[in-house]
Amino acid sequence: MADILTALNMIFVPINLLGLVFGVAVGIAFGCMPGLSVNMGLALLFPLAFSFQGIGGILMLLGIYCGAIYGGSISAILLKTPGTPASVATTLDGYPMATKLKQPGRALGLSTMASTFGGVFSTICLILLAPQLAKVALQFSKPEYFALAIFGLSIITSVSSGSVIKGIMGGLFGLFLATVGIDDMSGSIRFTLDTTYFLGGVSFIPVLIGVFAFAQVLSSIEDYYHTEKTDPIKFVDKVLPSWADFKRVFATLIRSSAIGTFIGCVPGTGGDIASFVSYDQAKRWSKNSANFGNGEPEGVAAPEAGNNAVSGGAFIPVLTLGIPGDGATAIMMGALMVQGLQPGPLLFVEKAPDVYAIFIGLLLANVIMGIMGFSLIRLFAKVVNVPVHILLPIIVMMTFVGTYSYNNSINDVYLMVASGFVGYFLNKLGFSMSAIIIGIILGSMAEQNFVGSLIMSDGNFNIFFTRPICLFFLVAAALSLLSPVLGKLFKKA
Amino acid sequence: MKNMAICNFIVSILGMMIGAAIMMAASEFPLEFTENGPGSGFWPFALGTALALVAVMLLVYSISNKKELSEQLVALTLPANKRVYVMMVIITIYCALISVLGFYPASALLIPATMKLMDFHDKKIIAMTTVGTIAFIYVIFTVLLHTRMPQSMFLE
Repeated sequence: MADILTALNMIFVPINLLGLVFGVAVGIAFGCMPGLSVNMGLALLFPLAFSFQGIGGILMLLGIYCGAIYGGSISAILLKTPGTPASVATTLDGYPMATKLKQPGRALGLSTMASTFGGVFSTICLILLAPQLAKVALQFSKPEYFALAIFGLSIITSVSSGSVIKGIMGGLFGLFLATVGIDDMSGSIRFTLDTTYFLGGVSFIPVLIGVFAFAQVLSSIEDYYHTEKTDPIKFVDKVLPSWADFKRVFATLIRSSAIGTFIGCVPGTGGDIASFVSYDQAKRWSKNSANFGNGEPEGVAAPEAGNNAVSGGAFIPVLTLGIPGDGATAIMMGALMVQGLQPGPLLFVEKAPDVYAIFIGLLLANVIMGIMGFSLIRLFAKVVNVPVHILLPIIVMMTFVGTYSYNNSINDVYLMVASGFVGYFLNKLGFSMSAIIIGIILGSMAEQNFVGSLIMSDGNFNIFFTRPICLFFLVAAALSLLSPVLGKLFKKA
Repeated sequence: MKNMAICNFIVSILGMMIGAAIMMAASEFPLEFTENGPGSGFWPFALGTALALVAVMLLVYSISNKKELSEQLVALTLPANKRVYVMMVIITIYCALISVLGFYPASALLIPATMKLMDFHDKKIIAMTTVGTIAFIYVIFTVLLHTRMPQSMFLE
């Protein structure tokens, strides 16, 4: 109880609350503008998070994370152009409801209600489940942590990228980048190219902004060349959902939120998968399944509840095991680490107030997101229409300023630009940027626990195969990596 | 347009080269086991080896699925790509100009250049976007957050 009160004291500081509200607003704006992603919003404002004292910056990033997932539905409904991949399924019924049925306000209201419901539902699951899982994870030792790092990486590489092999290559390269600088175990200086700049390792923030924000800007410039202008819907009617609509979609909200939370817990999945699975299930269970695709309320509510429910679920492996599930949670995990909060079961013991502050912050972010959605939707509907030729130069400037302001280092800017250029080509070749970033994040954990395990066993590799939990995670990692091959074999059989 | 088979071939060769380079660089550090565990070169050496092996796997995969991969096209030489390459040149020049002119004057050139590159030529809106963005950055970062933006080499 004392920890919860301390957490409340940490959150209910005007500047921290302001950061949370600002984060949600920026997140919704980022989410609703096609071409700007959740990851880009988080990466761009990552350096600004450290201008806040204590937990304030984390709260701001939580706000961006929640807001951006929801924001994607606004352009999906008004423009038929999803702001984020997680909102693709929302276009299927959201856009017809807004155009054919001429009820854009109803569609936006349903999506806002479903997003808020999904977010709150999954946060409650996080609050209930995470401490229990952390208790189990407290029994883990170095070999188990090494196996966990490998498992986390294997899931990401096999699920998030189009090509498993390229995913593994990206992950391995990320792991290598994490070895640059002074080795924590031996004190050796490794791969610094004889510069002092790399002594502290490859700076995470410039790489993050480079691959997630700057590379995305370059891709958007390419996409803009082909873009055809869509006439936006200018009039948004009443957005508060009716009682009849609420009753009609309530079961869908519960089902989709549960699906989203579960999918969020699995590293390597994400909002896009959750929204499509939720939509599919809503269609199967609906009495009006034939009307799906023509503006069915369940068809709007299901994907939005599902994709927002991912937010709480995705934090379960991050906070309890230190395994990020996707690019966005990897950025959040990086932010926690930079703030001195090392995700993992010990976080629940050593920094319990901070953990509760994250729980309450996520809950508040979802509530604020709902309030903003209902009250400011007409404003956000206008943000959708900001022309790309104005938006992109501003984003380019923000990538430079954000990178520079973190460390006041022009070398960071050069690293960001180089990462962005490389990221643009890697994206085109089907590499997963998330795999590289997660490799960098998990690199230190993997190496330290690998070396620590071998010290424990006097150099005997059997330690990884004789401990049940460790073996379980390693087998699971191998199965996950081999799943595409195994899948083909099963199909043939 | 290039096809994915050719791209994969180049990527796998690059992957093998990077893997080998990592192995060579790592072998300059201790690799053997002591009472303090494996030497500091062991882990990166293992990563380099794994990267090279996975690159070989990509090569084998690309050769065995050549027909299928040849049908996947990767846009690298279309006019839209050329626009991106011009942007990369502009950004490189901007990076150099930051040191020569300072952050704000260089940015006052970058924003209009980017907008013109995107086929937008309304001078009034270009000017408003440039002034507005720079003013916003100045207020937030220089005034409120006290960030000292890079200055011209002639002023330092």
